[in-house]
Amino acid sequence: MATSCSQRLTKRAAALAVAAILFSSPSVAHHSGAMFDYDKSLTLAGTVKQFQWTNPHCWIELSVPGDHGVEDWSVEMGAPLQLYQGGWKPGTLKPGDEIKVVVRPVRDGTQKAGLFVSATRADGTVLGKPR
Amino acid sequence: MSSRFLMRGFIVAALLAATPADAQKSEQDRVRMFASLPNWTGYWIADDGVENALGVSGRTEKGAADYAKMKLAAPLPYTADFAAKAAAARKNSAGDTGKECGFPFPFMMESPWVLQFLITPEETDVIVAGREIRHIYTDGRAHPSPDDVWPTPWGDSVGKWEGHVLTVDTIAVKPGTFPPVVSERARFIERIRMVNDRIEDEITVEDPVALTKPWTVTIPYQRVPGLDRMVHGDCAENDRNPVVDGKLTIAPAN
Repeated sequence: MATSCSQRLTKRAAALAVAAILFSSPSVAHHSGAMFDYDKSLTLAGTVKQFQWTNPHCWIELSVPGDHGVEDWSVEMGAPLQLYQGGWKPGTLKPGDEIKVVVRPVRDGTQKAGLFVSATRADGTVLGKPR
Repeated sequence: MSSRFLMRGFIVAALLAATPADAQKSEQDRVRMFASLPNWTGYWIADDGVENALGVSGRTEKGAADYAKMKLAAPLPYTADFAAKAAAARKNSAGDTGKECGFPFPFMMESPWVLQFLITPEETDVIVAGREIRHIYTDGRAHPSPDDVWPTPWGDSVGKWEGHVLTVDTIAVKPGTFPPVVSERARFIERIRMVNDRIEDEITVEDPVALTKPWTVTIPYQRVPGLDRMVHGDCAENDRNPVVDGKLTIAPAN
């Protein structure tokens, strides 16, 4: 079927508008990562309270001594698949392990929480496989 | 001949007629068929440069990938009427506080999760780590009749081996908000094959309602090194990211 030039332009404009909106929502992961500040990094030195090997995210619960006593931090990680691919196993961390964890902290600062970047043991061993 | 004998004969004939062809194949035939199929064992991930190398954080370095680069997010040749519908569908999808829980076809073929091709003479299954699964029947069956087919997120797939190329015909995919957004009339024709050490899925979408012409995209897959088992996802097991006052938060550990 023949289409006029103006019809073609209308169709093209419509197609481009759709393309622009298709991925305005970054939600291919379980949830958006917008809550974390990717321009900041924080190193937490503490004791593992709990290591949750769970979906949709694994978590390190870390007790971190500070000026105002011990603070409990929650460190969000990827899914077990991503940890497993990165050389982590459910037994990689145990309660009582002393570790340092680098995180991207949450943006609003009201929660003691962050997104996992890397972790090392007290002796400097890097946890997981090098990327 | 007694009526009971006749009745028994009718029942046996009816059962034979209803038995799938594969059940009547001899074991030797089946072994031969297995031997003729390609070896695509292992785990694969879409190699589109978007989210195929997530680290232990499960996210890219800046948190969000450039999803516009996804093969399935390329502009479609929409009809003017359907373009508006597709835009509205995406607008209504999850935003910053939304959560995704499993992917439909064809998006599952380009998701950030690894996938596996499980090949048997009767069917090839595509198993995605997010627990999505497609059954592609290769036993010669047709789709159910139009009255007996119902839309699902994964559609109804029948396939055929042409040498080591699997051609797949998929219909009855429930329209959703993941790209490519198309109508319930869409038909997806795939050619899945191994090219050197990669697998390629060439998908052609035909849709008389949404598209002005067929649209083809090819998704390449690379092998995932060092993965020795499928590790599945589950979005509900320990969801510690509740939405509070319109914002995603982090809940304390149980």
